[in-house]
Amino acid sequence: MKHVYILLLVLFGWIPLFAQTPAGNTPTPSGAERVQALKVAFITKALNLTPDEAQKFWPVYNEYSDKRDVVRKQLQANRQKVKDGSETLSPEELLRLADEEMTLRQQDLDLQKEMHEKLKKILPAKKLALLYVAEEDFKKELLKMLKEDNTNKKGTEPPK
Amino acid sequence: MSMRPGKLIYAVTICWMFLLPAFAFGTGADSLRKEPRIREVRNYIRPALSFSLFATGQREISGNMPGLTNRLGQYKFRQSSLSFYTPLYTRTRFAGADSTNVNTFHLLFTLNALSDQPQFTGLEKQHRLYKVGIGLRAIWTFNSQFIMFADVSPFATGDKYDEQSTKRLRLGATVVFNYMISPKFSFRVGVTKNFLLGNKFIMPMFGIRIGKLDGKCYFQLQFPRHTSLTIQPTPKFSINIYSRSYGGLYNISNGDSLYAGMDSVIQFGHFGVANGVRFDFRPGPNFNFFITGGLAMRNHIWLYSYDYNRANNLNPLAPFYKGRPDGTLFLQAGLTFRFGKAKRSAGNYLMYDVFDLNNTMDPGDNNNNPGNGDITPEMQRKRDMEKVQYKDVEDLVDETDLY
Repeated sequence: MKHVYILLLVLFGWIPLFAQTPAGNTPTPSGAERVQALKVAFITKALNLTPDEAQKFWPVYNEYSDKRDVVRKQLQANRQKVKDGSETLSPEELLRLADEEMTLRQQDLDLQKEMHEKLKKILPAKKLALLYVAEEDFKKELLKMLKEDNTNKKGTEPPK
Repeated sequence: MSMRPGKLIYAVTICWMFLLPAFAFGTGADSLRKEPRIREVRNYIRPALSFSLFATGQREISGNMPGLTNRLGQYKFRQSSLSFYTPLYTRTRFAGADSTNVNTFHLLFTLNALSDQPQFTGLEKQHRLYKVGIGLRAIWTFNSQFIMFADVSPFATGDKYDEQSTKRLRLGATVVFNYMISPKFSFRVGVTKNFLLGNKFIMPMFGIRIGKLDGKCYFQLQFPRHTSLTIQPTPKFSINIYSRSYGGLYNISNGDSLYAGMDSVIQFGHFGVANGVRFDFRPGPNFNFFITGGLAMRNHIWLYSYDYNRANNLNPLAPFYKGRPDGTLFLQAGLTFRFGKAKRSAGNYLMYDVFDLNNTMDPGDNNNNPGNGDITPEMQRKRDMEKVQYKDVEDLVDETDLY
Protein backbone atom coordinates (compact mmCIF):
# COMPACT_ATOMS: atom_id res chain seq x y z
CA MET A 1 0.00 0.00 0.00
CA LYS A 2 2.91 2.28 0.84
CA HIS A 3 4.12 1.96 -2.75
CA VAL A 4 0.74 3.05 -4.05
CA TYR A 5 0.72 6.19 -1.88
CA ILE A 6 4.21 7.11 -2.98
CA LEU A 7 3.34 6.52 -6.60
CA LEU A 8 0.20 8.69 -6.33
CA LEU A 9 2.17 11.43 -4.60
CA VAL A 10 4.85 11.38 -7.25
CA LEU A 11 2.34 11.19 -10.09
CA PHE A 12 -0.03 13.89 -8.99
CA GLY A 13 1.97 16.03 -6.58
CA TRP A 14 3.37 17.97 -9.51
CA ILE A 15 0.10 18.98 -11.06
CA PRO A 16 -0.29 22.30 -9.16
CA LEU A 17 3.18 23.34 -10.28
CA PHE A 18 2.22 22.96 -13.91
CA ALA A 19 -0.79 25.19 -13.40
CA GLN A 20 1.54 28.10 -12.66
CA THR A 21 2.69 30.49 -15.36
CA PRO A 22 6.39 31.25 -15.26
CA ALA A 23 7.15 34.80 -14.31
CA GLY A 24 8.38 37.40 -16.74
CA ASN A 25 8.00 37.58 -20.46
CA THR A 26 9.39 34.13 -21.14
CA PRO A 27 7.01 32.20 -23.38
CA THR A 28 5.59 29.12 -21.70
CA PRO A 29 7.49 26.11 -23.08
CA SER A 30 4.28 24.41 -24.14
CA GLY A 31 3.06 27.61 -25.82
CA ALA A 32 6.30 28.08 -27.76
CA GLU A 33 6.33 24.38 -28.58
CA ARG A 34 2.79 24.53 -29.94
CA VAL A 35 3.63 27.57 -32.05
CA GLN A 36 6.63 25.73 -33.50
CA ALA A 37 4.62 22.60 -34.20
CA LEU A 38 1.88 24.54 -35.91
CA LYS A 39 4.44 26.50 -37.91
CA VAL A 40 5.91 23.24 -39.19
CA ALA A 41 2.48 22.08 -40.30
CA PHE A 42 1.68 25.48 -41.83
CA ILE A 43 4.90 25.82 -43.81
CA THR A 44 4.95 22.16 -44.89
CA LYS A 45 1.45 22.60 -46.29
CA ALA A 46 2.11 26.01 -47.87
CA LEU A 47 5.28 24.81 -49.58
CA ASN A 48 4.00 21.34 -50.33
CA LEU A 49 7.39 19.93 -49.28
CA THR A 50 8.29 16.47 -50.50
CA PRO A 51 9.63 14.09 -47.80
CA ASP A 52 13.15 14.50 -49.24
CA GLU A 53 12.92 18.28 -49.17
CA ALA A 54 11.43 18.29 -45.65
CA GLN A 55 14.19 15.99 -44.42
CA LYS A 56 16.85 18.51 -45.43
CA PHE A 57 14.86 21.71 -45.02
CA TRP A 58 13.76 21.51 -41.36
CA PRO A 59 17.15 20.87 -39.75
CA VAL A 60 18.62 23.85 -41.62
CA TYR A 61 15.61 26.08 -40.97
CA ASN A 62 15.55 25.15 -37.25
CA GLU A 63 19.28 25.73 -36.89
CA TYR A 64 18.98 29.27 -38.20
CA SER A 65 15.79 29.91 -36.24
CA ASP A 66 17.70 29.03 -33.07
CA LYS A 67 20.52 31.39 -34.00
CA ARG A 68 18.07 34.16 -34.86
CA ASP A 69 16.29 33.60 -31.55
CA VAL A 70 19.48 34.49 -29.70
CA VAL A 71 19.81 37.73 -31.67
CA ARG A 72 16.15 38.61 -31.13
CA LYS A 73 16.33 37.93 -27.42
CA GLN A 74 19.40 40.14 -27.16
CA LEU A 75 17.50 42.85 -29.02
CA GLN A 76 14.56 42.52 -26.64
CA ALA A 77 16.86 42.63 -23.60
CA ASN A 78 18.61 45.76 -24.89
CA ARG A 79 15.30 47.46 -25.61
CA GLN A 80 14.09 46.63 -22.12
CA LYS A 81 17.31 48.06 -20.71
CA VAL A 82 16.73 51.32 -22.61
CA LYS A 83 13.09 51.41 -21.54
CA ASP A 84 13.94 50.91 -17.89
CA GLY A 85 17.00 53.15 -17.81
CA SER A 86 16.35 55.93 -20.34
CA GLU A 87 16.54 58.46 -17.50
CA THR A 88 19.36 56.91 -15.55
CA LEU A 89 21.75 55.49 -18.17
CA SER A 90 24.60 57.68 -19.37
CA PRO A 91 24.44 59.06 -22.94
CA GLU A 92 27.45 56.88 -23.80
CA GLU A 93 25.66 53.76 -22.63
CA LEU A 94 22.46 54.73 -24.47
CA LEU A 95 24.47 55.34 -27.63
CA ARG A 96 26.19 51.98 -27.23
CA LEU A 97 22.81 50.29 -26.94
CA ALA A 98 21.52 52.17 -29.99
CA ASP A 99 24.60 51.10 -31.97
CA GLU A 100 24.12 47.54 -30.77
CA GLU A 101 20.54 47.64 -32.04
CA MET A 102 21.90 48.21 -35.55
CA THR A 103 24.60 45.55 -35.13
CA LEU A 104 22.07 42.98 -33.97
CA ARG A 105 19.63 43.82 -36.75
CA GLN A 106 22.50 43.37 -39.21
CA GLN A 107 23.40 40.04 -37.57
CA ASP A 108 19.80 38.91 -37.97
CA LEU A 109 19.86 39.86 -41.64
CA ASP A 110 23.22 38.12 -42.12
CA LEU A 111 21.78 34.95 -40.64
CA GLN A 112 18.75 35.19 -42.91
CA LYS A 113 21.00 35.61 -45.93
CA GLU A 114 23.19 32.71 -44.87
CA MET A 115 20.11 30.51 -44.46
CA HIS A 116 18.78 31.70 -47.80
CA GLU A 117 22.00 30.58 -49.53
CA LYS A 118 21.71 27.11 -47.99
CA LEU A 119 18.02 26.80 -48.74
CA LYS A 120 18.68 27.68 -52.41
CA LYS A 121 20.46 24.34 -52.64
CA ILE A 122 17.58 22.48 -51.01
CA LEU A 123 14.38 24.04 -52.38
CA PRO A 124 13.35 24.93 -55.91
CA ALA A 125 12.98 28.68 -56.61
CA LYS A 126 9.19 28.70 -56.32
CA LYS A 127 9.19 27.03 -52.92
CA LEU A 128 11.96 29.26 -51.61
CA ALA A 129 10.04 32.37 -52.62
CA LEU A 130 6.87 30.95 -51.13
CA LEU A 131 8.67 30.27 -47.84
CA TYR A 132 8.96 33.96 -47.04
CA VAL A 133 5.31 34.51 -47.97
CA ALA A 134 4.32 31.56 -45.76
CA GLU A 135 6.30 32.96 -42.82
CA GLU A 136 4.39 36.22 -43.07
CA ASP A 137 1.08 34.44 -43.53
CA PHE A 138 1.79 32.34 -40.47
CA LYS A 139 2.32 35.43 -38.33
CA LYS A 140 -0.94 36.91 -39.59
CA GLU A 141 -2.71 33.62 -38.94
CA LEU A 142 -1.40 33.60 -35.36
CA LEU A 143 -2.51 37.17 -34.78
CA LYS A 144 -5.93 36.34 -36.20
CA MET A 145 -6.23 33.37 -33.86
CA LEU A 146 -5.23 35.47 -30.87
CA LYS A 147 -7.72 38.15 -31.87
CA GLU A 148 -10.50 35.56 -32.25
CA ASP A 149 -9.55 34.06 -28.91
CA ASN A 150 -9.75 37.47 -27.21
CA THR A 151 -13.10 38.24 -28.88
CA ASN A 152 -14.50 34.90 -27.73
CA LYS A 153 -13.30 35.49 -24.18
CA LYS A 154 -14.92 38.94 -24.09
CA GLY A 155 -18.12 37.57 -25.60
CA THR A 156 -18.46 34.88 -22.95
CA GLU A 157 -17.71 37.13 -19.98
CA PRO A 158 -20.70 37.54 -17.70
CA PRO A 159 -22.10 41.10 -17.49
CA LYS A 160 -20.82 43.05 -14.48
CA MET B 1 23.49 2.25 8.15
CA SER B 2 22.33 0.80 4.87
CA MET B 3 19.22 1.65 2.96
CA ARG B 4 17.24 -0.82 0.85
CA PRO B 5 17.57 -0.09 -2.89
CA GLY B 6 13.80 0.25 -3.19
CA LYS B 7 13.74 2.82 -0.39
CA LEU B 8 16.74 4.58 -1.86
CA ILE B 9 14.94 4.98 -5.17
CA TYR B 10 11.91 6.49 -3.42
CA ALA B 11 14.09 8.79 -1.33
CA VAL B 12 15.98 10.04 -4.39
CA THR B 13 12.73 10.53 -6.30
CA ILE B 14 11.11 12.49 -3.50
CA CYS B 15 14.22 14.66 -3.19
CA TRP B 16 13.98 15.33 -6.91
CA MET B 17 10.36 16.32 -6.51
CA PHE B 18 11.53 19.23 -4.41
CA LEU B 19 14.66 20.02 -6.38
CA LEU B 20 13.21 19.85 -9.87
CA PRO B 21 10.93 22.87 -9.55
CA ALA B 22 14.05 24.94 -8.97
CA PHE B 23 15.50 23.67 -12.25
CA ALA B 24 12.30 23.64 -14.23
CA PHE B 25 10.67 26.85 -13.10
CA GLY B 26 13.38 28.83 -11.42
CA THR B 27 14.03 31.16 -14.33
CA GLY B 28 12.91 34.63 -15.12
CA ALA B 29 11.68 35.59 -11.68
CA ASP B 30 14.95 36.79 -10.24
CA SER B 31 14.62 40.54 -9.94
CA LEU B 32 18.22 40.92 -8.80
CA ARG B 33 19.57 39.61 -12.07
CA LYS B 34 19.82 42.67 -14.25
CA GLU B 35 21.76 41.23 -17.16
CA PRO B 36 19.93 38.35 -18.80
CA ARG B 37 22.31 35.66 -19.97
CA ILE B 38 21.44 35.11 -23.58
CA ARG B 39 23.22 32.30 -25.29
CA GLU B 40 22.48 29.75 -27.93
CA VAL B 41 21.14 26.45 -26.67
CA ARG B 42 23.50 23.65 -27.65
CA ASN B 43 21.62 20.45 -26.87
CA TYR B 44 18.84 18.75 -28.73
CA ILE B 45 18.32 16.18 -26.00
CA ARG B 46 17.08 17.50 -22.68
CA PRO B 47 18.12 15.93 -19.38
CA ALA B 48 15.44 13.49 -18.27
CA LEU B 49 14.65 11.74 -15.04
CA SER B 50 12.31 8.74 -15.15
CA PHE B 51 10.79 6.62 -12.47
CA SER B 52 8.74 3.47 -12.89
CA LEU B 53 7.05 0.79 -10.82
CA PHE B 54 6.07 -2.63 -12.13
CA ALA B 55 4.25 -5.38 -10.24
CA THR B 56 2.74 -8.73 -11.20
CA GLY B 57 0.12 -10.83 -9.45
CA GLN B 58 0.93 -13.89 -7.40
CA ARG B 59 0.84 -17.26 -9.13
CA GLU B 60 1.90 -20.90 -9.07
CA ILE B 61 5.19 -22.15 -10.50
CA SER B 62 5.82 -25.37 -12.33
CA GLY B 63 9.42 -26.52 -12.41
CA ASN B 64 11.81 -29.33 -13.17
CA MET B 65 12.51 -30.04 -9.45
CA PRO B 66 9.20 -30.64 -7.63
CA GLY B 67 10.83 -30.44 -4.20
CA LEU B 68 12.32 -27.03 -4.84
CA THR B 69 9.16 -25.85 -6.59
CA ASN B 70 7.11 -26.75 -3.50
CA ARG B 71 9.58 -25.02 -1.28
CA LEU B 72 9.49 -21.82 -3.32
CA GLY B 73 5.68 -21.68 -3.22
CA GLN B 74 3.88 -19.00 -5.21
CA TYR B 75 5.70 -16.25 -7.04
CA LYS B 76 5.18 -12.59 -7.71
CA PHE B 77 7.53 -9.97 -9.01
CA ARG B 78 8.00 -6.30 -8.34
CA GLN B 79 10.40 -3.84 -9.94
CA SER B 80 11.11 -0.19 -9.29
CA SER B 81 13.56 1.78 -11.34
CA LEU B 82 14.99 5.23 -11.55
CA SER B 83 16.90 6.39 -14.58
CA PHE B 84 18.48 9.60 -15.68
CA TYR B 85 20.36 10.91 -18.67
CA THR B 86 21.87 14.23 -19.51
CA PRO B 87 23.81 15.51 -22.49
CA LEU B 88 27.47 16.18 -21.77
CA TYR B 89 28.46 17.50 -25.14
CA THR B 90 26.61 18.31 -28.35
CA ARG B 91 28.07 19.40 -31.62
CA THR B 92 26.18 20.63 -34.66
CA ARG B 93 27.81 21.33 -37.99
CA PHE B 94 26.88 21.78 -41.60
CA ALA B 95 28.36 19.08 -43.81
CA GLY B 96 28.04 17.49 -47.21
CA ALA B 97 29.14 18.69 -50.64
CA ASP B 98 26.82 21.70 -50.55
CA SER B 99 26.94 22.20 -46.74
CA THR B 100 23.24 21.55 -46.35
CA ASN B 101 23.33 18.47 -44.11
CA VAL B 102 23.05 19.26 -40.43
CA ASN B 103 25.21 16.61 -38.78
CA THR B 104 25.05 16.30 -35.01
CA PHE B 105 26.97 14.48 -32.33
CA HIS B 106 25.59 13.90 -28.85
CA LEU B 107 27.46 12.51 -25.86
CA LEU B 108 25.27 11.60 -22.91
CA PHE B 109 25.80 10.47 -19.37
CA THR B 110 23.34 7.90 -18.04
CA LEU B 111 22.49 6.72 -14.58
CA ASN B 112 20.23 3.90 -13.45
CA ALA B 113 19.14 2.37 -10.16
CA LEU B 114 16.86 -0.62 -10.18
CA SER B 115 15.35 -2.83 -7.52
CA ASP B 116 14.04 -6.26 -8.59
CA GLN B 117 12.03 -8.11 -5.98
CA PRO B 118 11.13 -11.70 -6.81
CA GLN B 119 8.86 -12.80 -3.96
CA PHE B 120 8.32 -16.46 -3.13
CA THR B 121 5.67 -17.26 -0.53
CA GLY B 122 7.65 -20.30 0.60
CA LEU B 123 10.75 -18.34 1.60
CA GLU B 124 10.93 -16.69 4.99
CA LYS B 125 13.44 -14.10 3.95
CA GLN B 126 13.09 -12.65 0.46
CA HIS B 127 15.91 -11.85 -1.94
CA ARG B 128 16.03 -8.18 -2.75
CA LEU B 129 18.05 -7.69 -5.88
CA TYR B 130 19.54 -4.44 -7.03
CA LYS B 131 21.33 -3.00 -9.97
CA VAL B 132 23.09 0.37 -10.02
CA GLY B 133 24.89 1.61 -13.05
CA ILE B 134 26.29 4.57 -14.90
CA GLY B 135 27.03 4.80 -18.55
CA LEU B 136 28.00 6.80 -21.56
CA ARG B 137 26.25 6.91 -24.87
CA ALA B 138 27.17 8.56 -28.12
CA ILE B 139 24.79 9.35 -30.95
CA TRP B 140 25.82 10.60 -34.37
CA THR B 141 23.41 11.80 -37.02
CA PHE B 142 24.74 12.28 -40.50
CA ASN B 143 23.77 12.77 -44.10
CA SER B 144 20.14 13.64 -43.16
CA GLN B 145 19.24 9.92 -42.95
CA PHE B 146 21.64 8.00 -40.74
CA ILE B 147 22.21 7.55 -37.03
CA MET B 148 24.90 5.61 -35.21
CA PHE B 149 24.15 4.85 -31.59
CA ALA B 150 26.59 3.39 -29.06
CA ASP B 151 26.00 2.80 -25.38
CA VAL B 152 28.25 1.36 -22.70
CA SER B 153 26.82 0.81 -19.23
CA PRO B 154 28.85 -0.86 -16.50
CA PHE B 155 26.70 -1.74 -13.53
CA ALA B 156 26.86 -3.37 -10.14
CA THR B 157 24.32 -6.00 -9.12
CA GLY B 158 23.75 -7.92 -5.94
CA ASP B 159 21.37 -9.36 -3.41
CA LYS B 160 20.64 -7.49 -0.20
CA TYR B 161 20.22 -10.89 1.47
CA ASP B 162 24.01 -11.08 1.60
CA GLU B 163 25.40 -8.05 -0.10
CA GLN B 164 29.08 -8.73 0.50
CA SER B 165 29.28 -12.07 -1.28
CA THR B 166 26.77 -11.39 -4.06
CA LYS B 167 28.19 -8.15 -5.44
CA ARG B 168 29.07 -8.43 -9.08
CA LEU B 169 30.12 -5.99 -11.77
CA ARG B 170 28.71 -6.49 -15.22
CA LEU B 171 28.75 -4.64 -18.49
CA GLY B 172 25.94 -3.92 -20.92
CA ALA B 173 26.68 -2.49 -24.35
CA THR B 174 24.75 -1.71 -27.50
CA VAL B 175 25.67 -0.49 -30.97
CA VAL B 176 22.90 0.35 -33.43
CA PHE B 177 22.78 1.76 -36.93
CA ASN B 178 19.53 3.49 -37.83
CA TYR B 179 18.55 4.28 -41.40
CA MET B 180 15.63 6.64 -41.83
CA ILE B 181 14.42 5.97 -45.34
CA SER B 182 11.58 8.45 -44.99
CA PRO B 183 9.76 10.11 -42.06
CA LYS B 184 7.29 7.21 -42.30
CA PHE B 185 9.78 4.38 -42.36
CA SER B 186 13.06 3.57 -40.74
CA PHE B 187 14.95 0.46 -39.77
CA ARG B 188 17.66 -0.38 -37.28
CA VAL B 189 20.27 -3.08 -37.06
CA GLY B 190 22.79 -3.59 -34.33
CA VAL B 191 24.25 -5.80 -31.71
CA THR B 192 23.68 -5.77 -28.00
CA LYS B 193 25.20 -7.42 -24.99
CA ASN B 194 22.61 -7.52 -22.27
CA PHE B 195 20.96 -9.57 -19.54
CA LEU B 196 17.39 -8.74 -20.44
CA LEU B 197 16.50 -12.31 -21.30
CA GLY B 198 17.64 -13.68 -17.93
CA ASN B 199 21.12 -14.67 -19.00
CA LYS B 200 24.15 -13.10 -20.61
CA PHE B 201 23.52 -12.76 -24.32
CA ILE B 202 25.28 -11.08 -27.17
CA MET B 203 22.57 -10.87 -29.74
CA PRO B 204 21.64 -9.05 -32.91
CA MET B 205 19.15 -6.25 -32.82
CA PHE B 206 16.68 -5.49 -35.51
CA GLY B 207 14.00 -2.85 -35.65
CA ILE B 208 11.55 -1.27 -38.05
CA ARG B 209 9.17 1.62 -37.70
CA ILE B 210 6.22 2.27 -39.97
CA GLY B 211 4.40 5.59 -39.56
CA LYS B 212 5.59 9.00 -38.46
CA LEU B 213 6.76 9.31 -34.87
CA ASP B 214 4.78 12.53 -34.46
CA GLY B 215 1.79 11.25 -36.43
CA LYS B 216 -1.52 9.72 -35.46
CA CYS B 217 -0.36 6.14 -35.60
CA TYR B 218 2.87 4.20 -35.91
CA PHE B 219 4.05 0.64 -35.54
CA GLN B 220 7.39 -0.50 -34.19
CA LEU B 221 9.13 -3.84 -34.01
CA GLN B 222 12.30 -3.60 -31.96
CA PHE B 223 13.73 -7.07 -31.42
CA PRO B 224 14.51 -8.13 -28.66
CA ARG B 225 12.84 -5.28 -26.79
CA HIS B 226 9.31 -4.62 -27.89
CA THR B 227 6.64 -4.63 -30.54
CA SER B 228 4.13 -1.84 -30.32
CA LEU B 229 1.35 -0.02 -32.06
CA THR B 230 1.01 3.59 -30.96
CA ILE B 231 -2.07 5.68 -31.54
CA GLN B 232 -1.90 9.41 -30.75
CA PRO B 233 -5.41 10.84 -30.97
CA THR B 234 -4.36 14.16 -29.43
CA PRO B 235 -1.00 15.82 -28.82
CA LYS B 236 -1.38 15.18 -25.09
CA PHE B 237 -2.48 11.58 -25.05
CA SER B 238 -1.47 8.34 -26.71
CA ILE B 239 -2.45 4.69 -26.49
CA ASN B 240 0.09 1.98 -26.99
CA ILE B 241 -0.65 -1.70 -27.52
CA TYR B 242 2.57 -3.54 -26.95
CA SER B 243 4.50 -6.60 -26.07
CA ARG B 244 7.83 -6.12 -24.32
CA SER B 245 10.41 -8.32 -22.69
CA TYR B 246 11.77 -7.84 -19.21
CA GLY B 247 14.26 -9.75 -17.11
CA GLY B 248 17.66 -9.86 -15.50
CA LEU B 249 20.47 -11.95 -14.11
CA TYR B 250 21.75 -11.69 -10.55
CA ASN B 251 24.05 -13.34 -8.08
CA ILE B 252 21.93 -14.34 -5.11
CA SER B 253 22.80 -15.68 -1.71
CA ASN B 254 22.43 -19.40 -1.15
CA GLY B 255 21.89 -18.68 2.57
CA ASP B 256 18.46 -20.29 2.34
CA SER B 257 19.99 -23.36 0.62
CA LEU B 258 17.97 -23.16 -2.56
CA TYR B 259 20.86 -25.10 -4.02
CA ALA B 260 21.78 -28.20 -2.06
CA GLY B 261 25.51 -27.84 -2.75
CA MET B 262 28.12 -25.94 -0.78
CA ASP B 263 27.91 -22.72 -2.86
CA SER B 264 27.39 -19.59 -0.83
CA VAL B 265 26.31 -17.74 -3.98
CA ILE B 266 24.19 -18.98 -6.87
CA GLN B 267 22.70 -17.19 -9.86
CA PHE B 268 19.09 -16.20 -10.46
CA GLY B 269 17.74 -15.30 -13.86
CA HIS B 270 14.22 -14.26 -14.74
CA PHE B 271 12.42 -13.38 -17.91
CA GLY B 272 8.91 -12.52 -18.95
CA VAL B 273 6.92 -10.91 -21.71
CA ALA B 274 4.52 -8.15 -20.74
CA ASN B 275 1.64 -7.79 -23.18
CA GLY B 276 -0.48 -4.79 -22.44
CA VAL B 277 -2.10 -1.50 -23.18
CA ARG B 278 -0.34 1.64 -22.15
CA PHE B 279 -1.81 5.12 -21.74
CA ASP B 280 0.68 7.93 -22.05
CA PHE B 281 -0.19 11.42 -20.92
CA ARG B 282 1.85 14.42 -21.92
CA PRO B 283 0.59 17.54 -20.14
CA GLY B 284 3.53 19.51 -21.50
CA PRO B 285 7.07 19.19 -22.79
CA ASN B 286 8.51 19.02 -19.26
CA PHE B 287 6.55 16.09 -18.00
CA ASN B 288 4.87 12.91 -19.17
CA PHE B 289 3.58 9.87 -17.38
CA PHE B 290 2.08 6.51 -18.24
CA ILE B 291 -0.10 3.85 -16.74
CA THR B 292 -0.19 0.39 -18.22
CA GLY B 293 -1.59 -3.02 -17.47
CA GLY B 294 -1.93 -6.38 -19.12
CA LEU B 295 -0.79 -9.96 -19.00
CA ALA B 296 2.70 -11.10 -18.02
CA MET B 297 3.31 -14.27 -20.01
CA ARG B 298 6.07 -16.66 -21.02
CA ASN B 299 7.54 -16.28 -17.56
CA HIS B 300 10.72 -18.11 -16.63
CA ILE B 301 12.91 -18.27 -13.58
CA TRP B 302 16.23 -20.05 -13.58
CA LEU B 303 18.71 -20.93 -10.88
CA TYR B 304 22.31 -21.59 -11.83
CA SER B 305 25.34 -22.80 -9.93
CA TYR B 306 28.64 -21.74 -11.45
CA ASP B 307 30.54 -24.20 -9.24
CA TYR B 308 28.38 -27.15 -10.19
CA ASN B 309 28.57 -26.25 -13.87
CA ARG B 310 32.32 -25.85 -13.74
CA ALA B 311 32.73 -29.15 -11.93
CA ASN B 312 30.59 -30.91 -14.55
CA ASN B 313 32.05 -29.12 -17.59
CA LEU B 314 28.76 -27.45 -18.32
CA ASN B 315 28.11 -24.00 -19.68
CA PRO B 316 28.64 -21.61 -16.70
CA LEU B 317 25.07 -20.42 -17.01
CA ALA B 318 23.31 -23.76 -17.53
CA PRO B 319 20.45 -23.76 -15.02
CA PHE B 320 19.92 -26.54 -12.51
CA TYR B 321 16.40 -25.30 -11.85
CA LYS B 322 13.95 -24.18 -14.51
CA GLY B 323 10.71 -22.73 -13.24
CA ARG B 324 7.71 -21.57 -15.23
CA PRO B 325 5.48 -19.20 -13.28
CA ASP B 326 1.93 -19.08 -14.65
CA GLY B 327 0.76 -16.09 -16.62
CA THR B 328 -0.71 -13.30 -14.54
CA LEU B 329 -1.84 -9.70 -14.58
CA PHE B 330 0.62 -6.86 -14.20
CA LEU B 331 0.41 -3.15 -13.56
CA GLN B 332 3.02 -0.54 -14.28
CA ALA B 333 3.21 3.22 -13.92
CA GLY B 334 5.96 5.62 -14.71
CA LEU B 335 6.75 9.26 -15.05
CA THR B 336 9.41 11.33 -16.72
CA PHE B 337 10.57 14.87 -16.09
CA ARG B 338 12.52 16.75 -18.69
CA PHE B 339 14.16 20.00 -17.89
CA GLY B 340 16.35 22.66 -19.39
CA LYS B 341 16.09 24.04 -22.89
CA ALA B 342 16.71 22.34 -26.19
CA LYS B 343 17.31 23.35 -29.74
CA ARG B 344 14.36 23.28 -32.10
CA SER B 345 13.63 19.90 -33.56
CA ALA B 346 10.07 20.36 -34.84
CA GLY B 347 9.75 18.72 -38.24
CA ASN B 348 13.24 17.19 -37.98
CA TYR B 349 12.39 13.50 -38.32
CA LEU B 350 15.95 12.30 -38.04
CA MET B 351 16.12 13.97 -34.63
CA TYR B 352 12.83 12.28 -33.72
CA ASP B 353 14.52 8.96 -34.50
CA VAL B 354 17.37 10.01 -32.19
CA PHE B 355 14.87 10.69 -29.40
CA ASP B 356 13.14 7.39 -30.06
CA LEU B 357 16.41 5.43 -30.03
CA ASN B 358 17.47 7.18 -26.85
CA ASN B 359 14.18 6.31 -25.16
CA THR B 360 13.99 2.76 -26.51
CA MET B 361 17.45 2.00 -25.06
CA ASP B 362 16.61 3.32 -21.61
CA PRO B 363 19.54 3.86 -19.22
CA GLY B 364 20.49 0.57 -17.61
CA ASP B 365 18.84 -1.42 -20.37
CA ASN B 366 15.80 -2.40 -18.29
CA ASN B 367 13.46 -1.96 -21.24
CA ASN B 368 11.28 0.47 -19.30
CA ASN B 369 10.68 2.82 -22.19
CA PRO B 370 9.93 6.24 -20.66
CA GLY B 371 7.94 7.22 -23.75
CA ASN B 372 8.65 9.70 -26.52
CA GLY B 373 7.56 12.73 -24.50
CA ASP B 374 10.30 14.75 -26.16
CA ILE B 375 8.72 14.45 -29.61
CA THR B 376 6.26 17.25 -30.35
CA PRO B 377 3.19 15.61 -31.85
CA GLU B 378 2.06 16.88 -35.22
CA MET B 379 -0.49 19.69 -34.96
CA GLN B 380 -2.75 20.30 -37.84
CA ARG B 381 -5.70 21.79 -36.09
CA LYS B 382 -6.21 25.25 -34.72
CA ARG B 383 -7.83 23.92 -31.59
CA ASP B 384 -4.45 22.48 -30.59
CA MET B 385 -3.35 26.08 -30.19
CA GLU B 386 -5.62 26.73 -27.22
CA LYS B 387 -4.00 28.75 -24.48
CA VAL B 388 -1.32 30.24 -26.73
CA GLN B 389 -0.85 33.77 -25.49
CA TYR B 390 0.46 36.94 -27.04
CA LYS B 391 3.77 36.58 -25.22
CA ASP B 392 4.34 33.28 -27.02
CA VAL B 393 4.34 35.01 -30.38
CA GLU B 394 5.32 38.61 -29.67
CA ASP B 395 8.83 38.33 -31.04
CA LEU B 396 7.39 37.12 -34.33
CA VAL B 397 5.28 40.21 -34.80
CA ASP B 398 6.20 43.36 -36.71
CA GLU B 399 4.08 46.49 -36.61
CA THR B 400 3.36 46.02 -40.30
CA ASP B 401 1.52 42.81 -39.47
CA LEU B 402 -1.06 44.83 -37.60
CA TYR B 403 -2.40 46.84 -40.55
